[in-house]
Amino acid sequence: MSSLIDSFTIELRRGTLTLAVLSQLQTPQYGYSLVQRLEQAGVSIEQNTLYPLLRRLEKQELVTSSWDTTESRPRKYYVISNYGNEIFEQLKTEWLTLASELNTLLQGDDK
Amino acid sequence: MKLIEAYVYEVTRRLPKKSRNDIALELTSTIEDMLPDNYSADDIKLALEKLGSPAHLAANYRDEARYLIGPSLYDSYVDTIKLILPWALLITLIVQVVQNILLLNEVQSILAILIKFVSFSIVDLIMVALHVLFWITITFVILERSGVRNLTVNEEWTVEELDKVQIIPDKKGISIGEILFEFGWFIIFTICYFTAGHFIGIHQTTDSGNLLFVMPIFQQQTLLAFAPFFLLAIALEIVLLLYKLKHRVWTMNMAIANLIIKLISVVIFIIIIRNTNLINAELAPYLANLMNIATIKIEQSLSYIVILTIITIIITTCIDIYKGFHKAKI
Repeated sequence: MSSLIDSFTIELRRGTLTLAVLSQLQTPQYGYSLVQRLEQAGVSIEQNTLYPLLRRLEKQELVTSSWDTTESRPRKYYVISNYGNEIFEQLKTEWLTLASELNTLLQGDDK
Repeated sequence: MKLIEAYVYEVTRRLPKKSRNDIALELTSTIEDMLPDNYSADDIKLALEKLGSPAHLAANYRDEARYLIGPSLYDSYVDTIKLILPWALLITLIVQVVQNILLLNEVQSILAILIKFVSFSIVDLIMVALHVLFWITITFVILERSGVRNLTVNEEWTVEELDKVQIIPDKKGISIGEILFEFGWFIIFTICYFTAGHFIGIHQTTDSGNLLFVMPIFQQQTLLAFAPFFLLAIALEIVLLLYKLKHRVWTMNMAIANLIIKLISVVIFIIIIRNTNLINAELAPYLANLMNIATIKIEQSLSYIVILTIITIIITTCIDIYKGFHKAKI
């Protein structure tokens, strides 16, 4: 029973991860700082999903990356690209519409 | 530190060479970010546990999952096995029975023969099953790797594309399994045709228990003389198979092509089998001597077998031709 709920929850969240990640990349972030930001916002994302996701987004040209070697520890920073921003805005609109539609449906059920 | 290196190595060795270095660097710095200032070995373990299994992480990095046989082919893989395996086992069993009947000339207790038969059969059946599974799997792995049926999704889709979509009724379609099955038959048939003189015939167990090849049933020279016709028939059949593979659905043209090619094949087959030099001339006297009956009777029954075979072939071919037209009309 609970495993069924788990798989539904994972499925529900999977689609929103890209949106969550893109929303946090308006300023350059490296992998771990991104994890912390998301966790602070209450969005739990498995790290072994996040890092590959970042690379995929880079391949799709939604984000760009650069190595910062000025500090003692080299870090790879990711930031959203112009193209990524366009996509992000459209996705955001989609999400807001979907959320409000679903809200209407779910509240209608309560009555 | 060694733990981190090992972890990163375990992830990157599973990835394509060109991206390894970059991912290794990124992963290392990320893991170090996760650790507190003065970290202990336990802290490292905790951080790595949080990252999860290296294989899983590497799999997430890969763009597409790797399959031995992917979801797009899996169904036809299973169908092919279901189609071929029972036939292969049945044929093996029949060959075994025939062989054992031909061996019955020795004085042996029925029980001993039965025990030998059952134990040999089980081993043979297992071997054949393994072979069938192995070769079908290899074939499908090659199909998978070569991307024969890589499903490509169009990025931009228009309603007009629906016009091009062909809805194939189940009964009208030609499955890959069916095509592979026929293809396998042609290969087996061709091999038998050219090597019949060496192993299709009467075997006898020697005193030491080895199988001795006494005499072939067919005259290899006659078979070779007809080889150009035989190869022509096989070539036509394979062209038809390729045509089927391309369209994967019965059409009127295909049914007509099937009709013509099957007629040619049957004519060639009848010419070959009707040839009086096909069957080894020594066979009838040998069998007659063995069974203690007149040679003429054996020759008679051999010609009955030939006629029966021809009738069977004609009937199955007619059914096949009819099926083609029937399916094309659905």
